[in-house]
Amino acid sequence: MSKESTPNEKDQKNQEALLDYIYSEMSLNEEASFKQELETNPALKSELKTYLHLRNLSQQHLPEQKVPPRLTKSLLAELGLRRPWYEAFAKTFMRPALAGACVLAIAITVGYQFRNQGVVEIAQPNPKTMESPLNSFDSEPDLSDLVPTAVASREPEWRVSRQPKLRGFASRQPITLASVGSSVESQPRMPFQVNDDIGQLKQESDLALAHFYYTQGLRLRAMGEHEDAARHFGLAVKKYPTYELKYQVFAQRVDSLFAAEKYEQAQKELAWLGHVSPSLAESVKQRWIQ
Amino acid sequence: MTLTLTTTFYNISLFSNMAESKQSDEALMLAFQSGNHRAFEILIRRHQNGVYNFIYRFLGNPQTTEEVFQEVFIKIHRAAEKYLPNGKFTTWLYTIVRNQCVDTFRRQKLRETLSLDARNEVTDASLGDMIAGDETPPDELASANEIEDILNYALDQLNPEQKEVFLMREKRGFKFEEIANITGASVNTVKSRMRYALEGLRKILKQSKYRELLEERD
Repeated sequence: MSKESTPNEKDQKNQEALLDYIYSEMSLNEEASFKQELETNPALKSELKTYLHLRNLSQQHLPEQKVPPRLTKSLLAELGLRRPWYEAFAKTFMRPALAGACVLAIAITVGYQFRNQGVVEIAQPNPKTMESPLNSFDSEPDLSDLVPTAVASREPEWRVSRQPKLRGFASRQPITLASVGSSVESQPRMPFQVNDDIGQLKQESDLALAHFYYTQGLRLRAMGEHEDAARHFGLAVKKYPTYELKYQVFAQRVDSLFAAEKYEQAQKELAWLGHVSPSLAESVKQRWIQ
Repeated sequence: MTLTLTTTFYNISLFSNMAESKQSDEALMLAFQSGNHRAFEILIRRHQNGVYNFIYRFLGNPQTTEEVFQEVFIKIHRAAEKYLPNGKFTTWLYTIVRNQCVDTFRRQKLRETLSLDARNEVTDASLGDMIAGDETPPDELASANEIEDILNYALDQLNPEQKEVFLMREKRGFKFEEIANITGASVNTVKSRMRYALEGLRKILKQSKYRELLEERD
């Protein structure tokens, strides 16, 4: 025999079910039967709506507070759970911007170190072999035969604007990821280290080009192309006055001019060679002038 | 070389943090029991906001909240040896939080009562005698402009048993059965307290200028 519930007991059950329904703690069957009850019980439905409004209000207007960071810090200290230094360091790397900046800084430093190690030392004129400066003549050597080839063998231009524009570098501002690749500045302002590097690279390229003309001259000379050889030796001397072997190259030019039977020009330049390097001039003289 | 080392270090620390942060509360607590202090730090960081908010809403005073917050975690730290992974860690945690809050609340009430009962030497009346009855809406409620102020006031009017049930169910998302385990009451009692809590809040909001927010809008 089933015991019928009194109105009060039914009301009590409905109230309990109402909470279960609001907080989704009902099975599907219970939910279905409670929904039926709601359809037939307007008072219960109204109560449900009031509670739902109340829930919304408390969710929207009782915001979650965040623990003040100093409180966490002091608690961890109180419990002896302070982070060791290496974890604090690792924590720094958890921030992508900081990690990026650090990696960039390390990459730049390491890159510069490697590049400086790989650079061939710039050749300087040997004071012992330098008898007198080339520009100390009353008049410069003519080397007029170089004119037509000078245009063809134009040296490359060094364009600073092709370098990366690191705005933070020049203004000594902190470098950020955003500053890399920025094209806001029309005129690149390079840091003095970078300018030094460019100067160094130019010297290196001058040296390489002078050496190229010299070896090219030797090759042409070996092939019997004396006139072309003389022109190449001349380019090395005239365009790259800091070239360490410039006097030897000049001597080769005079020798080539003699070989090309341009005696007048050869005699003239031999006289100049005699001023700057008497020993080399003497050796050329011994070959051609008896 | 430096780059490789940095990247490796970064990856190791990142993955170890990720692995630790994915562990369950119970596993972390067991790890702490076996001497891993980092596990306890993760537990603190994982639950600190929930615990802080519960205490703050229960006691309603930021300064006391900070004191109780610290006391709770110190207690847990000391009691960690006794922890048994029979149930959920959060049930154990909030049992301690709730007990600490109730103790503090009672001490506060006792101090307030003593202060209200202190007789004025001139009028020979206690402060309690001079406070108006609760038939008319109190000034605090009438002047409250923000719903949050009204809700906070309404929460303060609930008794601690109703308030704790409301906060655990509504703000921390515990099920009624879990709340029953935390408070040591039956599920029916918990539901009954919840009903009274909701009814109490509704009653106070109906006295405020935001009463229309509770009314039917369809």
